Amino acid sequence: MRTYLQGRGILAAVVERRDVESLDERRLLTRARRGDRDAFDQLVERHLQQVWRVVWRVVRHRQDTEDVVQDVFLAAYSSLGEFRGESKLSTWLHRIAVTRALNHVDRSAVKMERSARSLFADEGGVPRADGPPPLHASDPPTPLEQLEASELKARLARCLERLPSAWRAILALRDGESMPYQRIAETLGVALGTVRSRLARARLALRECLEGSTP
Amino acid sequence: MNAKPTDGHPVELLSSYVDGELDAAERSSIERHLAGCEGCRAILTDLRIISRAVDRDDDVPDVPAGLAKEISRRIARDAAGTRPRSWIGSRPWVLAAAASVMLVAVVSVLLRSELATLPARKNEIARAEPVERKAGSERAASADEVVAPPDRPAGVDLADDGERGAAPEPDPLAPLSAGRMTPSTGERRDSEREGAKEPVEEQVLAKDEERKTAASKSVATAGTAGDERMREEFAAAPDAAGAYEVTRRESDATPGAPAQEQRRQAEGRLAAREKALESTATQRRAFDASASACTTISILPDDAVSDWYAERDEDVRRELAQVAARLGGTAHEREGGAMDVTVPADRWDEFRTWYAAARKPDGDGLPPLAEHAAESDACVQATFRVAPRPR
Repeated sequence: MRTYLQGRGILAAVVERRDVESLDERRLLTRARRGDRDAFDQLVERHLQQVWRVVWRVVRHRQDTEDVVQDVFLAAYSSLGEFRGESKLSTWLHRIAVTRALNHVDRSAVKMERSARSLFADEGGVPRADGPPPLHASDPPTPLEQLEASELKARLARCLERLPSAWRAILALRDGESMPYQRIAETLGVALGTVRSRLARARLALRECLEGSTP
Repeated sequence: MNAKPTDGHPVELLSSYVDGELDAAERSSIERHLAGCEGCRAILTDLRIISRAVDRDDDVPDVPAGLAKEISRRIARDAAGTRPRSWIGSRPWVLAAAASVMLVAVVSVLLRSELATLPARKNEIARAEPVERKAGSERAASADEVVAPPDRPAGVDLADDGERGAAPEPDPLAPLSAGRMTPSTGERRDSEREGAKEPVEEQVLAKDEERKTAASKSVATAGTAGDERMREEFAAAPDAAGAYEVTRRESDATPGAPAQEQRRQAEGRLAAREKALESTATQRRAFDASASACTTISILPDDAVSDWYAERDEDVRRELAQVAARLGGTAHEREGGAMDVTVPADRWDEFRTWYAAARKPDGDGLPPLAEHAAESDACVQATFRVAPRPR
């Protein structure tokens, strides 16, 4: 079984190197590994937005996000030599980002209410949170369907902060970055089944919180 | 604890359906289910709302202007070491000399303390050895009853110990002991377990030593010691392909709970499963799945199974195989990471009882046989979706 998995890992690395990373990014990476800081700066520009989003969704505090994101790229720069190219560069960066963000949350004494208040500042003018057309016309609307979008957003912010950070991380990767399950599994270093079950439980917990059924 | 509205609904499948991550068979299955289940349709609607709400980018603040430049500056600063050079910094030989002196001092202090404690430690080891060996033997004796079939490649019957070793076939004319019927798969398994006892005992002793070492290390993250112990409890036989390498993953027991609490929970779950298994009838009866018509039940959306051991799916498979074997049944791996657990029909309720204690509180329970079985069926085959294997 281990042989099979190792074989698959090598095959997957070959496939990914061919069809995922652009030639340009590979060149930048090669130069960055040789100490070319300008090349690394360009890689930072390319991936900064995505790393920022992932970290923010876990940490949910602007200043802390800024600190963590800086740490992520510093860590990436200092360990460029360890990146073997078996996964996408973005997957590798995401892994560092999630790890650093989770570590930060674990250590941090920052009150999450600060990030909740900052969300309220952006309210207004958002459309109603419509769900998909019901499969059965006779189905009554769910409690969530009946929430105004602004109320849903406010409740979501509060509920996300109450979620375990590991669950926020997986929601960040799936719903925030639209990452396929297999890539999430690689990023987090967990089994595919874990991705499925963890996402389901995170969403279920959010649902209960949003409905107001969790005290 | 009151039942939750989502109890009995395949939430994990629904969540994966929202993301388009089901294979064709699963998709077809869930869509058929949705057509007849208003509760699931409501859950699906809400999961979609939640997914979209989390996705909304306007919740995320913009990247601060100048952040990329600040990162670049920090890297440059760290690389150049642009702190002001002190007297020592401008005379590196002073620093090197000071470091050497300190190193010699530290080493000599350490050596002195090591030499001082050496006689005491030797006595301690001598006293401890007989106790540890005895504890290991006791554990081997109890582990022998829960011999775990080694991991097999897909397609191999996990509970069949036929390939284990040189255990002889039982003499069909020998008087049968209580609980054994005519030579059968169950009989063969019993005798082969006997033959495999000694190597298992040695391995359990070795694992006992490892466990003591592991238990003495501090747990940096939640669940590690509990998971380690659970794994060793059930790994009485080694992986046939070599040492089973566990990649420590983040424990998912109760994220956020303190380390001790998570370990306690993991051990509690282990104890509950063991207790439930012990309460089942211990006599093994003959069972030949190939000759019997089986009721088949698909337990596809079973998140409780895949989460038992903090995502160590191999342990889940092994445990399912053990349970099946103890109930006189079999476990068989299928492609895609599913497992068929087949037990005699008259032992299905015992399996359900064990499973009720084993599953996570919010996991689905197993259905009673009456809902599915034909009276003539001699066995029940439950297909579990353990985490799919990578393709």
